[in-house]
Amino acid sequence: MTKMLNSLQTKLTVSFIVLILVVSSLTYFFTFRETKKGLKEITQTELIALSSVIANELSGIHAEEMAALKSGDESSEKFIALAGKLKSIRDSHSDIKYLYTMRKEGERLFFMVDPDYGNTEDPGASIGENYEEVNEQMLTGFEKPSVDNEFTTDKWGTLLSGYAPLRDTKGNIVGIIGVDMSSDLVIAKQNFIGKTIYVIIIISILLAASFIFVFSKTIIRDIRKLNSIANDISMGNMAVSMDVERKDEIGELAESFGRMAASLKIMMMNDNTSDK
Amino acid sequence: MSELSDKVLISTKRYLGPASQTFLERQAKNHMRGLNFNDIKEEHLPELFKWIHLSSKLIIDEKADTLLKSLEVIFHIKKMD
Repeated sequence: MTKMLNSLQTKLTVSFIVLILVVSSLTYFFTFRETKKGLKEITQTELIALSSVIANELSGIHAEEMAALKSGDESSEKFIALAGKLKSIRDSHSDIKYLYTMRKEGERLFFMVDPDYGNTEDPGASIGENYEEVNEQMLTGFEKPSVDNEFTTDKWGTLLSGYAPLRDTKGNIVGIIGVDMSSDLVIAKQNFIGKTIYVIIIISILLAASFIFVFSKTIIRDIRKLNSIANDISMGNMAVSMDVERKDEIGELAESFGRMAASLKIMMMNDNTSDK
Repeated sequence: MSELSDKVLISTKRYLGPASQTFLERQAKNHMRGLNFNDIKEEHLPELFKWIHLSSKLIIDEKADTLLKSLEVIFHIKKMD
């Protein structure tokens, strides 16, 4: 009897499972990668749209008031009113983590209004505070709406940000509005899709493996029968019956084997008669 | 070997393999009054097939029925009891 490890059934089942695993892994890898890319692109489009709408809403008198704020004005009525305005816009969009305005001096950026200023749990920036992690997209935001290419990490966390220019009443650009979306939200969406694909692949592998196991079992069963008959004949037991009925290659093998066994019986009968 | 003997041999080989000739020669010789298998005629066929059926049953069990059926079809012989 062939050992379980060496049996054709084990080899067939394992080969198919390995094949399915390779195909599934490649499918998972490419699908998940494309899904991640797609989700990021959707988020980027959403950020551009949000920053443009909010910039439109704040452009004009609000933008002028923000640009006029100076360091130390944090307790002024104007600052409190503008911070409240930004806070109410932020709170009306659950996807927004931070909302703030900035102005530019050369290549350096300074905060104008950060509604989280004074928040002890998650402190925001004060008026005129320098932002050190300036990137190309932020500077582009002073000309047209733009968005980060990748998640960026600073002291406020890992974020994807969109920017749009803020204009005063005369249409001059006085700053940018920054809209931050937390990576947690996007990663949670990516993980959900990843897990769904993963579960589907696991179920498919289990179904395919069960099917292959049953299928290979029927093949092996008939091969074992043929093996047992050959074994009987080789030990001189000619009283065997060929009960393998298949229409495939194993059936053909059984038929050939049956002919061979019949001939052997005839020759043995012939020899016995001659001996007598 | 006559054309008829050859045709019977080819049809039988499918079931009994390379020893078919020995088998057929024995059936003709032992059951048909020493008839040489190579000399069989059309009129010998029903009796020869009867003995082929009976003897092959001991070798290939129920497949002997299929062998008989196939011989009857090939040689246009009415079903024997």
